[in-house]
Amino acid sequence: MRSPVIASLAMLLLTVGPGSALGKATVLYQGATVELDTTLADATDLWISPADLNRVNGFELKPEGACIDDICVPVRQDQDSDIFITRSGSSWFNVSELGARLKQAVIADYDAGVWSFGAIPAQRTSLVNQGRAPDFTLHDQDGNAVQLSDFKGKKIMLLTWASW
Amino acid sequence: MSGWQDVYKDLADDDFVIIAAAQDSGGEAVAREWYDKAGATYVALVDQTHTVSSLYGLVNVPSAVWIDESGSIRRIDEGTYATTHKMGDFEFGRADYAPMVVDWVTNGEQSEHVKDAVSLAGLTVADDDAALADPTFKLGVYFHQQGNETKANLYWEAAQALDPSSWNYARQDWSFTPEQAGPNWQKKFETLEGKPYYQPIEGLDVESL
Repeated sequence: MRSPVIASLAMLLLTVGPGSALGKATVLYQGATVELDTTLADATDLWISPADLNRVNGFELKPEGACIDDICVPVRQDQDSDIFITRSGSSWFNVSELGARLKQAVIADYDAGVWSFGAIPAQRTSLVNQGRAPDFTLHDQDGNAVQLSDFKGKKIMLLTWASW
Repeated sequence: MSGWQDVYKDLADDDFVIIAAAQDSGGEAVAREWYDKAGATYVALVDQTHTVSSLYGLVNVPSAVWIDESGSIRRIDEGTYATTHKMGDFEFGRADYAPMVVDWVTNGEQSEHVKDAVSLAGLTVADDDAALADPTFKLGVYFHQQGNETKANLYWEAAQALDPSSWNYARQDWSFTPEQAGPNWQKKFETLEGKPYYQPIEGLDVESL
């Protein structure tokens, strides 16, 4: 799926010119819908402001890379790469590339600018192998947020059903 | 859902909770009626993007996960009916599951129905297509919520093609064309060729419908 660095950067330059063409995007991940006012236009990838990274997927950009819990993806921030670039003094982070490196499934509706990301396999592995119940937050019918881990210490029957 | 309310009320055990999650893209507008009808006092959640099914690898509803006090999974992915039901001549549901729940709540680790911590490894989708089905389905839910049914259908159908093992993706989609839901179900059911409806877990005496 991913094109080589040079090809994707060349495409950037051809299609939008350096550091221009900011567009809105919507990201769906872990049940949340995050609206982004500014992204760097790109034919295939989602480039966001590093300041938006945390609310998009919980990652934080640190000197050593993009990190969450015990997962850290190295990111050089002093030079351009296929995950991080600087244009006209603004930095951009490639969330699609982060997903690719984490083997995260992703699908985009380019027309509408909506990106939907699947689970990060490495985040699930430890839970999966040890038979631990993955945590989640949903809302009850009155709109209150409820987290599975709120009930730790009790026996829980987690029941799925549907009206259909 | 009223069947589980009866079980929950009868147990009245402070150390046990039922957390119900409606796998309904229609959201609260659809789920509330059922919770109200059941007089639900258990935790009644709305799960528009089927978060719980995808996190736990559940392929159909009703399904359930038993989670013990320490957060370990002790049973998973079975036809979780509180009782049997009749629809004309068609009988579905099961009478043996609710007593198992009661036995677990009452006897804890001594219950014969509680299993060793169940690894989700055998349940989680392994191939790339099935992994892509989850965000694809969620993209469909997004467009459904936006009122764009053309795109919702496009992505919901794509999700079904990517992960044919999921009944949730298919049945959510069919719910918008109720007149075709019966024949659609029959056709998909026949592709199972007698294999269990839910995903059987190694070493677990799953009784399937």
